[in-house]
Amino acid sequence: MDRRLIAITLAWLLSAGSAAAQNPAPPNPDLPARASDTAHLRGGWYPWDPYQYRDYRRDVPILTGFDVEIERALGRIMSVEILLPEIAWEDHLAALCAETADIAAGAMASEARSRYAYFSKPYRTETDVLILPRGASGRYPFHTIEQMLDTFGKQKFRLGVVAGFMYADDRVNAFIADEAHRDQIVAVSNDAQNLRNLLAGVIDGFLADRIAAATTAWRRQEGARIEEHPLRFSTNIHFMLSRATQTPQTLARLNDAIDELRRTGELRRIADLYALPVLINQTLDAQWFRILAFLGIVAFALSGVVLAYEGQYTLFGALVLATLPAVGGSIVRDLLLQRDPLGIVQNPEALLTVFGTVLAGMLVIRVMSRVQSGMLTKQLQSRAHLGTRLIEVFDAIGLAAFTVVGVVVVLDTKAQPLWLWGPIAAGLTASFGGLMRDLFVMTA
Amino acid sequence: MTATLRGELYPEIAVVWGLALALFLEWEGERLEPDEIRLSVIVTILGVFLTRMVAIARGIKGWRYV
Repeated sequence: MDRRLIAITLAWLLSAGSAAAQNPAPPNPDLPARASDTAHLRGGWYPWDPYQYRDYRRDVPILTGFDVEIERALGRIMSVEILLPEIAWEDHLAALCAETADIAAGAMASEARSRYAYFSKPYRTETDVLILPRGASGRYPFHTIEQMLDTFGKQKFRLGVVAGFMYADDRVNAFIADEAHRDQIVAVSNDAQNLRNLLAGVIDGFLADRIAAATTAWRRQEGARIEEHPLRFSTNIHFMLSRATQTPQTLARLNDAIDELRRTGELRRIADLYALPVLINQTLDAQWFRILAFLGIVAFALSGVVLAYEGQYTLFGALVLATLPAVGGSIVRDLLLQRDPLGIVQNPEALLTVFGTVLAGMLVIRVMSRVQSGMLTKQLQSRAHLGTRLIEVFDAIGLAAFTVVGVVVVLDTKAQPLWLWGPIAAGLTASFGGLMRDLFVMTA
Repeated sequence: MTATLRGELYPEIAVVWGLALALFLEWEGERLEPDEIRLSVIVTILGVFLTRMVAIARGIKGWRYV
């Protein structure tokens, strides 16, 4: 009866998941610049992960990101198509002046820019930081922007910046623009180049949006080699519309569209789908989280090994009993959420950990059975409860890590709403494999 | 051993803490503070771990349906 109930529940979850997991709409391809018209707005993008970046699905590049998806959503509301060719930020600003571009995302308002562009209502904020080599913050004990700029001047600090980018404080922008500091400023086209320069010793540090900088370092697996200085400064971020090609009426329509995005919750949904997954995956990629997940997988696998020993199973049976609790729940979750490819296929480390645990367990059991009369065996038998406690602690660690992984996979697969699918995926990841293992044991 | 439908307080812990993390992330969507996101993961991990340890120590079972 229990087995039938489980089978029905599993079938229902799988069919419900088909409806829940949303595949993102196919993106617009990068399109070449064209003459201005009312049906199109000529925009642009440059690599600025997670705001603007190319994602690869089955090796097919897809332009996406927080700013890109907001532009697309605004375009749908305004009934215009926003064209997004790749263009360096500095060139994009020049194109707004030269009437060859109409709109730019991710801009800070300034008096100089307002001479050639209108600014929309803010649609997000930006916090800038100074990125330094790991351990270098102690050498720069400033607490204010004035102190920071004073330090830059006195120490001839080689500062990396993105050409044409305005940072969140006017004093910083004035320092960068000052001819007296020209020798200290190294201007490049994006944060990735700044990171390469920092790690190569070409610059002493670089200014960047802290989310973009962290994401750039994470993508290149260089997060451990850099750190943020504690000083932070923030500002609002707007869209820019070319004064030469657009009218105040278009600006009003754009502002209305931003209001509608906020009112309908679309702005928040886009943040959930395109910025949050990138940020939370940075945490899950940390060494400490990998260790927790590893301990959890070993504990889940050990529970199967113990059952296989008690039930005198074959090696294949032991592999099944160990694999089900360790990865069975995540496979069911991935099928439910239509994750492509399945996590276990994309990254078979968990499966190899299970196999290693089973083989190591078999080796230990065989060695123990050979020396049954020895002192070692007696001592281990007298401390068997300690082993049980240890497995319970590791199992609880695994439960914790798998709970978080379940929620994060829902973010990755863009299933909505998160408050519904998050806990379901957490429960499936953490416990459904154990449930299947128990059913398997009962059947056997 | 641990995860069954009629015994240990186990899947319930994952579901409840998963819901807490999901609700926080829904709210965090507009703020996008990396430090807060990292902290939420750490709090969830500690919460799940401690809840499970307390459930083992006190022999707490899952909530009965009837």
